[in-house]
Amino acid sequence: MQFVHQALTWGFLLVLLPLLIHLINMLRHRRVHWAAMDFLLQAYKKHRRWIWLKQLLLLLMRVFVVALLVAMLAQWVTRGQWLNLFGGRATHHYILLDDSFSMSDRAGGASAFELGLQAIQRIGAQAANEDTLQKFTLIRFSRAARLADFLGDDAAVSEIADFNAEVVAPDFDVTLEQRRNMFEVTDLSIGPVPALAAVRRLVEDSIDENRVIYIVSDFRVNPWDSPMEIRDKLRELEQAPANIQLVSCAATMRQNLAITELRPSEETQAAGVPLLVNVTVKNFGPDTARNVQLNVRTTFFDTDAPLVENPTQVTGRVDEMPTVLIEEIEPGQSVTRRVQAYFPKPGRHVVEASLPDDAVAADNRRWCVIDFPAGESVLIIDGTAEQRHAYFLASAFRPGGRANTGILPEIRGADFLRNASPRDLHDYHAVFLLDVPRLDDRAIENLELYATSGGGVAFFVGPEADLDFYTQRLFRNGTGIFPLPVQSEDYLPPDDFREAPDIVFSDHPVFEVFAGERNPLVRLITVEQYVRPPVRWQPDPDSTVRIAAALRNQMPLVVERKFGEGRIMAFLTPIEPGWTNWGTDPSFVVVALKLQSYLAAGRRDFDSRHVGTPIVVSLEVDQFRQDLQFIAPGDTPDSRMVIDRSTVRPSADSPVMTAAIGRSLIDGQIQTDRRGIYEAWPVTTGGQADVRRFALNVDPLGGDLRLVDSRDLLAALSPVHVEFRSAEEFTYELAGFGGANRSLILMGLLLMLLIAEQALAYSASYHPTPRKT
Amino acid sequence: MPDSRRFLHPEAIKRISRLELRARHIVEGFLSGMHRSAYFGQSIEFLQHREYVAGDDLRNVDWKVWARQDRLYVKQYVEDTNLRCTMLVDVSSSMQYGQGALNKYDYACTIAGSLAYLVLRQQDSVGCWTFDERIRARVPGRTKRNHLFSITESLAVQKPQDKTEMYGILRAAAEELPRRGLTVLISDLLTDPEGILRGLKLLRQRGHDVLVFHVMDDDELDFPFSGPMRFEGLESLDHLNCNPRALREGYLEALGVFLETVRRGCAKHVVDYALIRTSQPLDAALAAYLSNRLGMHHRN
Repeated sequence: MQFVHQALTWGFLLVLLPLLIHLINMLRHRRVHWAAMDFLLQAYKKHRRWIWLKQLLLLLMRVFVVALLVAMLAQWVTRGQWLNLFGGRATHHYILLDDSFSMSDRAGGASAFELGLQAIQRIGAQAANEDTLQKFTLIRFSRAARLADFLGDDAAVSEIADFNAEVVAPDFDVTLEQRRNMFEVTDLSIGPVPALAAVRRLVEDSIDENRVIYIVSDFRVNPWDSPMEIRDKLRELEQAPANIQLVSCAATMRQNLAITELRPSEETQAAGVPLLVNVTVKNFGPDTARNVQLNVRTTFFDTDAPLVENPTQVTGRVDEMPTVLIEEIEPGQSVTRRVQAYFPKPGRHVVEASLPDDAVAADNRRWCVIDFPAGESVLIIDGTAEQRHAYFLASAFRPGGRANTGILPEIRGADFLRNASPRDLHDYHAVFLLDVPRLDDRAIENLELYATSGGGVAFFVGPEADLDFYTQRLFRNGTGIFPLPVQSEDYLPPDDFREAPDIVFSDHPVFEVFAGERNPLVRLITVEQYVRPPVRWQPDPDSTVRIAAALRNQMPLVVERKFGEGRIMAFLTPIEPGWTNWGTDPSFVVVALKLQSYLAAGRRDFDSRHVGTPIVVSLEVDQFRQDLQFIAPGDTPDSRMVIDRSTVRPSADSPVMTAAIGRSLIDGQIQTDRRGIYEAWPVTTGGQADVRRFALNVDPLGGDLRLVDSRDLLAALSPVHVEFRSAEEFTYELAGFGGANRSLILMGLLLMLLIAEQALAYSASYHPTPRKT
Repeated sequence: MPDSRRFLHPEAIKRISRLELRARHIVEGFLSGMHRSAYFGQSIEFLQHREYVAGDDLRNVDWKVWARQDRLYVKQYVEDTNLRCTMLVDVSSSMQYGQGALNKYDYACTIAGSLAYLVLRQQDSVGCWTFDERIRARVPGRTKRNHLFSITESLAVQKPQDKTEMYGILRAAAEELPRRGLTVLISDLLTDPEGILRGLKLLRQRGHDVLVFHVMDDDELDFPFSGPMRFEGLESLDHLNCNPRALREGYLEALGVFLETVRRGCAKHVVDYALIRTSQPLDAALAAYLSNRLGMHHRN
């Protein structure tokens, strides 16, 4: 038995007061000489026992009244279960705190996150003032998301809860104040569903308590605009039952620009070759953004630099690029700008774009890591014995002199495909088959395997090609790698008046050089002969096959399809002059380079990751040491954190071993929950560092600061009954949550006792009524 | 309350120390408040003329006077009675209880004096006995006006003492009062009710009209006590320490049974019974007496 005011418990001695008064009264008789003594004695004999019982009850009641009064004033806080029978159940406050980066939106000096913390502080302080048993559980969205990801469904929620059913002591607000200082807005963008699922598990394990669930968030359009899953989760909690409170921390929508994408264009990536990088900026604010300054800088890491002891000392050479000015971005619109990045040597280099500070800082910076090889290897298989076609293509790829396309062509015969292993083919960014008559089964299998894994293949069909073979073996009714059946060679009737160009190009990245209705380059190309498909052939609309270019007689000339992850393009005319003059036309060089860039896109692994994604590094067992280091970004380059890891082999005979960060909670944190550049530093058995870099960026949708309308939200959550309140105005109201109060119980008992005592005393006393005269 | 009644209230009566004066005061005050022609005109002996007022019985109008003087007069006659009234006044110890202006004995004496005056005013005979467990004093019946002094003197010298023994007293009265008359018993009747009723029955059997004034104090009827008390018997050595609030219900129940027994017994034996509180104005007793007188006429 505990009391808030222990000193007042001395008041229990006052229970002796009624006894003393009773004893004193017994000694203080008033003497009366009474005439009607017989009636008095008669009444006394008849009611003696009942009188004694009444007096005893009255005395006990008065003793209890005094005891209850003292207990009420001393604030009884007994935790005993037995009192729950009278409605004194514990009240459990479950607080789900949104720590997504949108909560960093700062208005009027305090961020939405800080407003949320203040509301939580008030809840804690007010709960501490209650004299019933109060429990407090706090779960951050970011940590709840990790529960299922890393700990598994069977893991205890207590591992991720900041407070787990902690009993609220009178000084709880101090404890909460101290611990909340450790809470920070993360770079994550996570909805409430994981937290609701976690609290659902806690509620299932808790019985006999009044539950109040607070969702402290900024309630942005994403993900609250279509909260079907959230509604289902809330429905489950409401039926638990629980009182659900939505505490809104953001009142207004403010201006926010975000870099939503930063990625290299689909062009050849090679050391010494300038690369265009696309930067997309979106205006998430309510007003038009004008004169937006976009800063881009590159960080070049020289792989020839000597190995240093401490990897954190390797910071690269930073080159600031000229500021890009975006004149205007309409609300809700995106604008993409291209900047040119140049890295003289191979390596995994970094491009970073940034915007000036605004409401939310996390989405104002974005990084990408671009793996620049020495060049992109291209395999050219020429079907002619003289390799007549390969000459034109190789000339386009390696023009000679100081020009560097970054493409490394390798001309082989058709038998190479048969003998090459999948690993050999994998090193090529694209494969070109130039008028190859036919391939044997092994070559077809290798080629299709290569394309399925993302390799690009281009066919140029000419007079040497066995059309039946192409149709039967390579097309195979649409299941093969070739995009269309071919039937026969055909002539394109000459157009003496040159009214229309021979080739009609579609809007395709490979042919963007011909874009524009009156582009003169198109008219320079003539086609005299080609291979045509069956007369009624049309691409299946449900397939990936589409015609990228056609002849003026409507017959297809360039047909494209997707095969697995790879891109396939079939040109139905060869390169060598004879059927067409395209190979000798200057535009062919441009088309060849674009074609290579387009086909090799599947081989360029652009790594786009969001914050919180695990980073896994796979290493060959026979080439790398077992230990490696990861470097996580810090606020400054000097504050980067080194994480030591040992690789693990999935099985004893596995040729690769893996190491990862971001797969588990370390000190309650996810090691990949900070945006920026992460590095992995594996070391080869020869002592060379093979640095891998990874860019982890925020989810751009998290920067959408549009607020969901509270009425729309309540309607969308219907029939779940929730209360929507502003964090600034939020105060905890015990009465609204049905929580019983020990003092209230005592007061109720006291009132009942007083009424009973009065009734008993009334029945045992004389109350004269005015007599009518 | 008519103006005259406020002079009949016990607080007012208490200021008059002499019982004789007190009796005159009460009776005159009482009569002045009554309807003027209610108790006249029952004999043939003419007393006086009085000018007619609205409400007078037309049978009493003297038409001869009207014929001569053209005025309406009513004739009034002297009441022709030979009433012999004997008052039995209880002077036992229990009669000295009283917390109000008058205790029960004072009240009983005042009633007795007033009745005596009223009877003598009607030129009837009135006598008075005082008793407890035996007869303390006897004042024989007389019709003289100055007989009132004898009665009040007899009452004034008595002091309440001893127990009540009602049956013996009533039996003695029945035996000693040779002629039929009105017997007025003024007592708190705090004794065996069976004995009381037997005695009253005996009186009735001897042809007496009996009127019982049961004088009780408010405390005895309401039992308004609270707080720890010690009750000590006035006519016995019994005592009781108790919380009177707890006993009140039982006490009132027992008292109620007693009163009901007495009331029913009186009704059974055609005895007029009036329970009078000492806090009531004294005209209640006189009204009961006159009501009895009318009842006698009806019975006769």
